Amino acid sequence: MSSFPTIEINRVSKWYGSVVAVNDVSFQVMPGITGLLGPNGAGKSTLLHMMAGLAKPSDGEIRVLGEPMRGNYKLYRRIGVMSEHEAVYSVFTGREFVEFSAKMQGVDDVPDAVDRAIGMVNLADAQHRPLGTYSRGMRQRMRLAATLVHDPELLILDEPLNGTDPRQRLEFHDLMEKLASEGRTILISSHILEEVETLAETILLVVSGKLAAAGDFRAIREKLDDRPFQLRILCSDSRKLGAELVKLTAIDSVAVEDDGSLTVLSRNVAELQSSIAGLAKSVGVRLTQMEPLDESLESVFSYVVQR
Amino acid sequence: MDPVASDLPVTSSPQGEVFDLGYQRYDGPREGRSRARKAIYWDGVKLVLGIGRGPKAKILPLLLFISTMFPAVVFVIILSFVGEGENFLPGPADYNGIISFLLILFGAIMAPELFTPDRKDRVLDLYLVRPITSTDYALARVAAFMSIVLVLVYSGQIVLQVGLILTAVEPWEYIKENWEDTPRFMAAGFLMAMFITVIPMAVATFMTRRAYASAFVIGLFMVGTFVVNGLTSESCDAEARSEGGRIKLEAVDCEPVTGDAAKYIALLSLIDTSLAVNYLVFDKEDDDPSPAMLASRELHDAIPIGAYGLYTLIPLAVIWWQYRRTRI
Amino acid sequence: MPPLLQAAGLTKHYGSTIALEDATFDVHEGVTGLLGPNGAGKSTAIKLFLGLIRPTAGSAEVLGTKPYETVEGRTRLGYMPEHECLPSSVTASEFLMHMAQVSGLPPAHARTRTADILRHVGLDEERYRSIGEYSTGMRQRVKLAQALVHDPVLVLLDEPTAGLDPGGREEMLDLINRTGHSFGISIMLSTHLMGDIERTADRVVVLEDGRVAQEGPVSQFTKATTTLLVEVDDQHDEVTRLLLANGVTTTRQGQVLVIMDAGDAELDAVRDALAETGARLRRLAPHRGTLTDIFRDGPRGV
Repeated sequence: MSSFPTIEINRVSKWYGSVVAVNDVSFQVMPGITGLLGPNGAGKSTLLHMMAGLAKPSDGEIRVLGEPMRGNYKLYRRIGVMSEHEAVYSVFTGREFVEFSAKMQGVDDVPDAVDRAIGMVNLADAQHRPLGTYSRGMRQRMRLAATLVHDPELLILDEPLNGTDPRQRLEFHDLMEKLASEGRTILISSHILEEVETLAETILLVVSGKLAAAGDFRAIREKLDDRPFQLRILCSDSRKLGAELVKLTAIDSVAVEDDGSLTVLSRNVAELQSSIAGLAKSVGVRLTQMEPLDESLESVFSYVVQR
Repeated sequence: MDPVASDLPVTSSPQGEVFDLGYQRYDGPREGRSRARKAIYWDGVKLVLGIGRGPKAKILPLLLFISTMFPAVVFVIILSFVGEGENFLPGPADYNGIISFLLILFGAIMAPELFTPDRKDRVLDLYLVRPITSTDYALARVAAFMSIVLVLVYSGQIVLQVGLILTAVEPWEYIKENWEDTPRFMAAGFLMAMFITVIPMAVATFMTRRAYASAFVIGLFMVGTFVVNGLTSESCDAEARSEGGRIKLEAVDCEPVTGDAAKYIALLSLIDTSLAVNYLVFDKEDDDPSPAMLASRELHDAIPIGAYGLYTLIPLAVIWWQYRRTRI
Repeated sequence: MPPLLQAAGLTKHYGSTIALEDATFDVHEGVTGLLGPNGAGKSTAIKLFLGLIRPTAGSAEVLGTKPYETVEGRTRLGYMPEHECLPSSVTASEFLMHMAQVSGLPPAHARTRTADILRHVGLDEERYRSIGEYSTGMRQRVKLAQALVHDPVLVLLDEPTAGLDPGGREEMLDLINRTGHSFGISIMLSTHLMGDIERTADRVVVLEDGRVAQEGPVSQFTKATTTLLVEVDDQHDEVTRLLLANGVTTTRQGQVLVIMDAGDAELDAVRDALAETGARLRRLAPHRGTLTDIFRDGPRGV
């Protein structure tokens, strides 16, 4: 597995007149699956366009696969881009659509590549039907096949899961993992956080044109020290355990909820998590459940955006 | 303190009160389709007149109103100087002919506005899931536009009538002799308003852009008029006569270019057919008829009326059919 | 209580295309999710319940009436379409007042209802601005408001979070919860996002290829199992050894130690093992199902 960054963004800015869409952003994207997230209008699409070579930065430099992006047409052959816009020519059959993409990308053995791509998205049965007859989810999958047909090292996917059903999303998940394990770099931008959470190893969170957070989202969570962690604890004697927990300096507050559970706020969650079992044992309380309430990607997103 | 108001919150009370601002169910009256039709009707009227949509939207309706009133006002002013010389000034029958061009323009430009935006923005879908039928919607819109056209047509006529009465030498005599003019102009005006309303609106049901519908309708009227009048124009033989030492050429044996067929071709002009019907209602003849009108005089009265009926009923049927078919 | 919506053998064919085939299900009070991929029949079902199309066979009943036979049944029904459907040149307030009247409310009542509803959906301050100036999130709220203004018994929502960013989605789901669980208006929520259903719905009807694949309370699909998950940062081997010494067998999946058929004895053993090693406990919880599992378990159907 290469340890070279696939994408290097170096002090990149992009403005349209007085509107600054991307403001002095720097980061690296390594092989594997990375999620690009942010509220609407934060600059995600602009960044994606620039990384795909569809727009030039107003300032700063973008390097993809070790080479500068500017005017580097050979690079395009190594990148597969799936945009947010779902419109396709409905008179093309699925196969024709993928073939067209293959030819545009200068693929050597077109029929073979097309077969493989269509096989990867499981649409061999429908490939000879016009795209106009496809359901939305099928269209998305065929668009994905067209993005994969030239075997790109870098995949940039903008909202690829729009309109797909749960079964298709599971298949998509498996496909992405397979592609990533082959050494590819996949950058996915999506609003469906619960999907990105299971798929992406690292995330890039863009807010108001700037990079607000990067990395493993759990690690990001721990760096948000103005937000104490919330945990929910179920045990055999809430008040007894609660009374003991309050004595710890790691604990900010303990609340007993209507359903008898404990909600604990803690700034030093590592200490709490390492000592809770011992504490429970020392007062003879059975520990049934302990879960973080705001460690999800959803919570991290929300906290970072609100800062 | 005050026994009557004892259940009202008292701000000076030492006990605080918190009022429930949460969601409340609606227990009030529900008036069904009639309320819906009224709402859609009035919404249509406001749309055309530009009420509630800023000053720019009111310009066109205002201009048109002034333009349709203008001839009537001018005639009345002239009459007040000249007196009872109605023979050389246009009367109520001719008045409709004069303003017909303006009205058609108004209809072509504004009538589609009652259908196309709702279809383009897909607001129609929100109407169709409410407890009304699609025909309720379509007919309420047609009625809204027609009401406005009627106001336009009648306003000028009323001014003209009042002017004629007041400037007559014997107003009372004038009323006794010409009282029929009033029901006639109301009938003729109604027929004209229908005509001007339903044709553009029927065309609009096929399109989602108001501009296309307007252009199509204007083309329909204009082309029809020019082509048909060209086809029904007369060509005459020239006969030379000598008269007092000079040779004079006279037109004799004038016949329409298309011969016998001309009187039927004349019916294809929408404007002329409606004007023919207009004159039939007033039981008068146009002093300066177009070739098409001239040609159609050869037909039995019922035929232009029948053609006119078709030109009105077919668009209505089209509107009804299109909206019945509309599905989300 | 009779069901609010009832589909009985509901079938709709478009020529040779089968949109819905023999679908039978009820929708009761509360929030019901209609889950399925595009093309599964969700939109067809909605159109049938709204009376916009007629069934090929079977019946769809709304509050006891057939909506494609009489329009009166729609008085107590609301609909929030997925697609854009708002005019841009009027204010939210005017638009809602008009729609309220089209639903039969007299003008004065329409006015007060409009003000109330716009407050409840969170558009209090912006209600006198033109809809054309609204953001996507605000437009979604207007769409919902027009579905609620006439106090329906049931609202049909079609992909209500489509196009919204995570913040907007959060707010919309919150609003849906409030509408369904606080305002007391029943909801049928049609979506392809399981997350939306898990966060708002009490019951779920799953459609696949035009047929009802599953139906039941959401809790049935997301209930806790007896499998216990112990997620620790480190010392997995130590903890495993200590548990084994106490007669508890575990299997390891990444950072998680999985214990089957866990009861009180196992819980105590876990606690003691953790106390002794001082391992950092990230999560201790029973394994729960998710709606995704419905689709994971092989091909269509149960």
